Amino acid sequence: MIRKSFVIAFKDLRGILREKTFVSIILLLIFVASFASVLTFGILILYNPYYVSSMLEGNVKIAVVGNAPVLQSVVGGTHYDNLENALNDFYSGEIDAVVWLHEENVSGFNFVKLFLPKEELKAVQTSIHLKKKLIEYQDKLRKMRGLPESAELLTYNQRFERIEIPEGIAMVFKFKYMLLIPLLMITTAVVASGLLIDLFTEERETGTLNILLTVVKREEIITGKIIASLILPVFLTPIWLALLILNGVEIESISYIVMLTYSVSFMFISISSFIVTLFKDRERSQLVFSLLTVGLIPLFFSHPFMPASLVTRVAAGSEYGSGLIPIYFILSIMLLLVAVRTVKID
Amino acid sequence: MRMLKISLLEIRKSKKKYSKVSVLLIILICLFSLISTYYVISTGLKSDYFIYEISGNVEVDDYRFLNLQDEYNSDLYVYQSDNGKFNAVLKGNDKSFAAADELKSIIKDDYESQLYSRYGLKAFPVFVDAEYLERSIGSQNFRVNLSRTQKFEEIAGGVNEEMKKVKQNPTVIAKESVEKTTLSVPGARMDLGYTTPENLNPPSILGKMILAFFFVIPSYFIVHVFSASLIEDKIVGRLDTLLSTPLRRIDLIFGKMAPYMIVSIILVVLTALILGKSPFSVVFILPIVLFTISLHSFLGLVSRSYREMTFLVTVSSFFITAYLFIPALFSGTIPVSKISPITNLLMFLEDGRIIIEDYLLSTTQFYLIFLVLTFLSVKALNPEIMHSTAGIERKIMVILEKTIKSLPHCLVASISSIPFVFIIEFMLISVIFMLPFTYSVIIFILCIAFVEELFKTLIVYSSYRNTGRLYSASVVTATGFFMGEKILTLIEISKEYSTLLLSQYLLFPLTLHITSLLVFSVLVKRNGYLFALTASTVSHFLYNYTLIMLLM
Repeated sequence: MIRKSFVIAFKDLRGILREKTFVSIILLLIFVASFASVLTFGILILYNPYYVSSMLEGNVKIAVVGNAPVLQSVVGGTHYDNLENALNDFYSGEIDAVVWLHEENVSGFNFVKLFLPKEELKAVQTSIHLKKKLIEYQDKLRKMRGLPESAELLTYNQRFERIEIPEGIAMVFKFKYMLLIPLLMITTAVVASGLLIDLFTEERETGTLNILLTVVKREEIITGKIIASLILPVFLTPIWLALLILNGVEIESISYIVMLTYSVSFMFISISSFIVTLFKDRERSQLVFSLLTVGLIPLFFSHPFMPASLVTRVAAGSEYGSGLIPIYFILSIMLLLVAVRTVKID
Repeated sequence: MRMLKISLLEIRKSKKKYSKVSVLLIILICLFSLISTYYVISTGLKSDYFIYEISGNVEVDDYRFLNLQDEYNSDLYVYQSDNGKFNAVLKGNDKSFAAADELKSIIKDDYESQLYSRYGLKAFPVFVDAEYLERSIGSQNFRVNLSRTQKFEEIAGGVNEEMKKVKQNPTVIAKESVEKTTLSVPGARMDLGYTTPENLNPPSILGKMILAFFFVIPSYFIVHVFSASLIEDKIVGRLDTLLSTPLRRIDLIFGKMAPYMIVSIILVVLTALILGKSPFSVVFILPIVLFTISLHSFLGLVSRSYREMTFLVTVSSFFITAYLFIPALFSGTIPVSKISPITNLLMFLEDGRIIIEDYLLSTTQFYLIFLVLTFLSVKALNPEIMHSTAGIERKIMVILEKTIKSLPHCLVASISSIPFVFIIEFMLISVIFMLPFTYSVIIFILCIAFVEELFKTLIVYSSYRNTGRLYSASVVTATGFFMGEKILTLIEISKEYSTLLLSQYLLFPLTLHITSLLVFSVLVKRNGYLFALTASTVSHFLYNYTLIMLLM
């Protein structure tokens, strides 16, 4: 039985290679991996623009309005007597931002109003600059009020030399490990499952299934198709892992990542085979599978022991919960075996 | 009328396929997907639980940190010295740096909370509120903005109102902003108005990005159903039957597309109404729907099997999503982000304004590609092409040969290729932009040369196969391409961002186009298409590289 199933699997794989569809998926993975940098950069601007401050910081011209000598001494810039003149110069481009504090109160509250340019790189530059200055201003007022100084974390390397931690570096780390790696894991599983639906429905809709059934048993066809779709994640996973490593991402516990990616692919392949049993045709099967995937993906991130959370941690080198990965693997194989036994394709 | 008949036929087919049970099941799955998405958005991702391992004499009570006894395996070894300062020894990998960064924030937040509990509002002397104002500044001289006076008056009025409010009850405002910003989960803080300086961030568009996804994703599903239906019709021979009738092919394509376009538009309007947004949001999604539906139509007709189509559709959907959403990530910070209709949708959701210039800039290429791809789909609606076992590249060549039959056709085809070239080059800029500058310029020039030569040579080669004319087709195609590029230069964004987009290197002179195509023409007869394409790409690259070297 297994020999004939492999014959069916190789028939399908030859089709994939002939159509060069495999090449397009590898191109997609290369694109995702090379896009990691621009995605991270974009998401950082979206989520935490201060991380890119070193790239965006430049000379900013500030206007300070109001009777605020301490604020003026910290922020610097040009002093304006009234807001109207400052805003006029802001609109004419002579200054980049207006800081307005009507009357400084050293012992009370100071409500500072900022006017910043919209939709310009200057907006990010000025807000980065002013945030630093206003924190300094707050520290200065706190000191004047006799409050304790800000707590600090001093950081050292293994040789006990002082090192500086770039602000927001945790964001970059989290975007790579919490989004990119789980996304690659899930994409692999979704592509393999989509392929299985196509392999089943194409034979039925083109009428070649009946021809195949004259020489091969139904179970052998099913097993063959499932083997063909399993081969995809088996090859794709090492490829995207290699691409990530080449892109400078530090990957720990490769064996765990591979095992978990295979588990997720096996689960998705089983689900897609159940869907195709229920809906028969490609159009409805692909639609239902896609809709279900949209619901399943968020769930994968919803608990520390769900697959996306586990792959994040093992890729980053944290062992917590990794004992569950072999269990996922065994369960996914069991699910696959159930799928082989129960799937109906005609 | 005939088109309507095809649409009705498509609807009847779907009705037959989607029984009540199927529809109910699909609705249930949609509900499940909505609930799970809502649950995760509201509770947050749980992927960073115990991601960092820490040891030492300081216990960190935070879900991200796992306290270990073993200091050799931990990311950070943390201890508090006699002077009360915290010290951390890092393992040296990326995770340890991230852990130290997170720990710094925890210590800072803890300090702020302690200050608040010990000294109350006295510890928070400064509150900030930022207002972002639009201004028009020319690259050289200040251009007078007619609405400036009005804007100024509005701002001044608003400021006075705020001042009154602040003066009336400063303690309440201060207490609310401190409690909300220092003692709750970090996140959407700008909604508060005044906040502490640590929490001063530009307005977050994260929420609106999720909204934009809600607008786009349902249309994606509908377009996928369309392509699935089309390829099924192709494989089971329904299209052949329809082609044997007096029906025009354009009616057949539009008749099949129409129900899906209408459903997509209805879904976008419904989404807008459910989310309490303007139904006019549809004008930003319409070009995306038209573009994807024409792309799927073309891919469905030229792909050889379900497998091939699934792969092509998956890859193209990813590229489209990247093109739409990545520029939108930069919205509000850099004008180049306006290249995506999603950026303009986000701005529309924010202030309800549609700026015609921005709208045309972001959507024209989608409308033009829709027209071109629909035209090519009509050409592909031919049993010889649809059922051929030849590869996609061969089928595209056949379609072009059936289309480009004279020199005026070369001119129109080369101008029509500009939106495709523009989108591909923009994607290339996004990827290559992140590489080190030394390599990025060379790789970028090479890629640009290849993309442009590929489009131009395909047109020339198709014309040559039909008419036997090579040199005249090369000159006409080069002229058409040059004209198309000149239209691009009229777009304001390429003026503003000429340095960033290297647009001075994108907009090549006519002589370059003619020269590279003549190189192709000389070689193609004797050495074949691929060799001639490589040679024209190399000549294009060398020209640009020399130009840039001279400029630098």
